[in-house]
Amino acid sequence: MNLVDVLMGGLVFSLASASSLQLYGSSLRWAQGHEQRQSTVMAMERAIAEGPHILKQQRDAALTDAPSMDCPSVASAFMSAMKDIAPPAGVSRELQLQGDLVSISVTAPAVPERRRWLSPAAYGLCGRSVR
Amino acid sequence: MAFFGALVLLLSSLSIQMAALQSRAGEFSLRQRAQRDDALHSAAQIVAGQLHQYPCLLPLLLKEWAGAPCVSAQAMAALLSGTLPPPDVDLGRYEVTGYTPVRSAGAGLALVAADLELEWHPTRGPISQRRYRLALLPGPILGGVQP
Repeated sequence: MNLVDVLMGGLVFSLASASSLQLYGSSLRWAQGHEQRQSTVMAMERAIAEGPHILKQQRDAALTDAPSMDCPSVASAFMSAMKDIAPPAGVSRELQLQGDLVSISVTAPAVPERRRWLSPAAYGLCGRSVR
Repeated sequence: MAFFGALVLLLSSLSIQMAALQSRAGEFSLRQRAQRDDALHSAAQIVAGQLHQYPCLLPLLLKEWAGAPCVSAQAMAALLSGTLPPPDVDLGRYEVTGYTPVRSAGAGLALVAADLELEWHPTRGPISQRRYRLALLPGPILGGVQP
């Protein structure tokens, strides 16, 4: 073994150590980012689930009332009720009224946007009675 | 020695690239799944809302009516399939592929719920099916779509 071999061996060893340390650091960063994204995804799920929850509450409160015939007004009232509830931290929620339907759009950094449509009529809050 | 070192570096670099590709593929799959779930839930809401608003459609779906239909064939077709409202109109189409009544023996075999089978045909991606229970009770409307 001569000096060149020793030097080459040392160089290769150094490069390999540096690479593995970089890999370790990258995988740690990835794991932390993944955990953060998971908790953001769960927060988005909670923000969306608040919509049906509010509709069920409104339905339970209106047990003895006859359902309204005016679905757009009921949808608008539902939107106002939703706007009073703050979404989970790190998540923003946008509501849009389209006829009888309300869309809930939920956005957060580094996570794809989600949108779900809700119908107050599906919860019996408006429309005709079922016989 | 140099050759083996270079080989080790090359293999490490390849495995990092593979891991990054897998991670991106996983995130894309999660996004597709979330979009599919949201689309199916939304379609179930739309169909359930229309059925609650036009209860004459229920016996029509169950083929138990006798007499003039309450809606046109075109309106009926629109109930059974359609797209989500804008801006999601290009995401795909939904279709009601099955509708099974649920009757309660305790309520004199009254229609208390209905199982709705929905199919989601996305613009991109595989077709998905899901079943929803639509709760219906006589008298004041009490019901909703159960995932």
